Amino acid sequence: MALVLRERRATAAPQAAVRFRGWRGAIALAADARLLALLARLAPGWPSAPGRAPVRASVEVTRAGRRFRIETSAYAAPDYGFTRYLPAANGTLGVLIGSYIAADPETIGLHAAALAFGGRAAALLGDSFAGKSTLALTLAAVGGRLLADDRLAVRLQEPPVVFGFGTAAKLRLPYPAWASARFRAMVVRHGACLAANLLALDLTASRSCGFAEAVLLSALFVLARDPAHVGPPATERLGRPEIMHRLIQQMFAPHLPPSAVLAAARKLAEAAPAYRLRYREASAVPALLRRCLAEGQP
Amino acid sequence: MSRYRRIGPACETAIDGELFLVLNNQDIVHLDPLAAALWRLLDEPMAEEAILRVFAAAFPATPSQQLSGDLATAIRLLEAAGALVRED
Repeated sequence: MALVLRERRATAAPQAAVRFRGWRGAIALAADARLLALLARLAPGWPSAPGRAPVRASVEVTRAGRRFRIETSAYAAPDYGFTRYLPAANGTLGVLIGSYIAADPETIGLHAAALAFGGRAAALLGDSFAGKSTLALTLAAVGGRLLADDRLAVRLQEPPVVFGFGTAAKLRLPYPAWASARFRAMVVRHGACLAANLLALDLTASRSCGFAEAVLLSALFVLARDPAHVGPPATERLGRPEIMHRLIQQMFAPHLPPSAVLAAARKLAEAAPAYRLRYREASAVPALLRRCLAEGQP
Repeated sequence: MSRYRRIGPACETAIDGELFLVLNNQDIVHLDPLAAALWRLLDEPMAEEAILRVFAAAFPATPSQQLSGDLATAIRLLEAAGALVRED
């Protein structure tokens, strides 16, 4: 008996299309409805493009078997190899932001959080799980306006400004031990479940800066959360080579050659003071940060 | 005797005594002051012993064992980054 194997075609969910506001034009996105629904939770404040806006970039998310492929006309995006919806939606958000940034040679992306107090912003840099999101939310709970919890844009004008994309802040549960009643109330009011133990907080209505709202960048902080740290949060001024090194590591600028990445890091290192911020609990940081932004130094 | 030489040109940015190199228009490498000095010295290919002599003269207070260890580390960093090559 002969066994005939038929090639099994990948089943693809029907694609839907949306148009996001981009830099002087629209970014068109085609993806399936489930991914678009997740994306709406991750970027609740990213507006649609006006109807007659020209399309500056097109992003398409397709599936081959279990793997998602995210492509953009703006640059050669790597194959991230996502196989689950939430990472794929988060990756798509990254590619959308990359496509926005790539249209403007004076703008770069940073893997950083940022908060504004009184018209001045502090950027919070750190590796994954350094506590950027938690600290950003702590600051938002006490009156700061959130620009970004993970992906920040910097326009390298003189002086540099930062802006975000109306993205939700993410919080992993359980609550940190020090979480105040105010912090918990904010989470309950604005949080929506993304996955087990992971919430997305839509702060766009009250506690965040608007989409692409530019705020003057006052200082860069490299987070050094340390359970053994004793006393109030402490800052240490970083030399320019050290902050350049960190900026290069955390920069996202797919439209720039390495020499331009280096020049951008230098420009930023020279324009804004940088500090290493040692702290044990995020709840102790807001006073220091507010003072820094108000007085120009910690 | 081993000699070291740079592999091709690199775009350099100096800041506060440290150096950033762009190699092959692709990779960015950060050199601390010692590695930056080594890179500058190797503007012309140089033997390992000659390198050590230059640095010993520049840092007479540093024990020679420490200096050779630091230089070996800097050379390894530059080799790994694809900035230098050893010629035996």
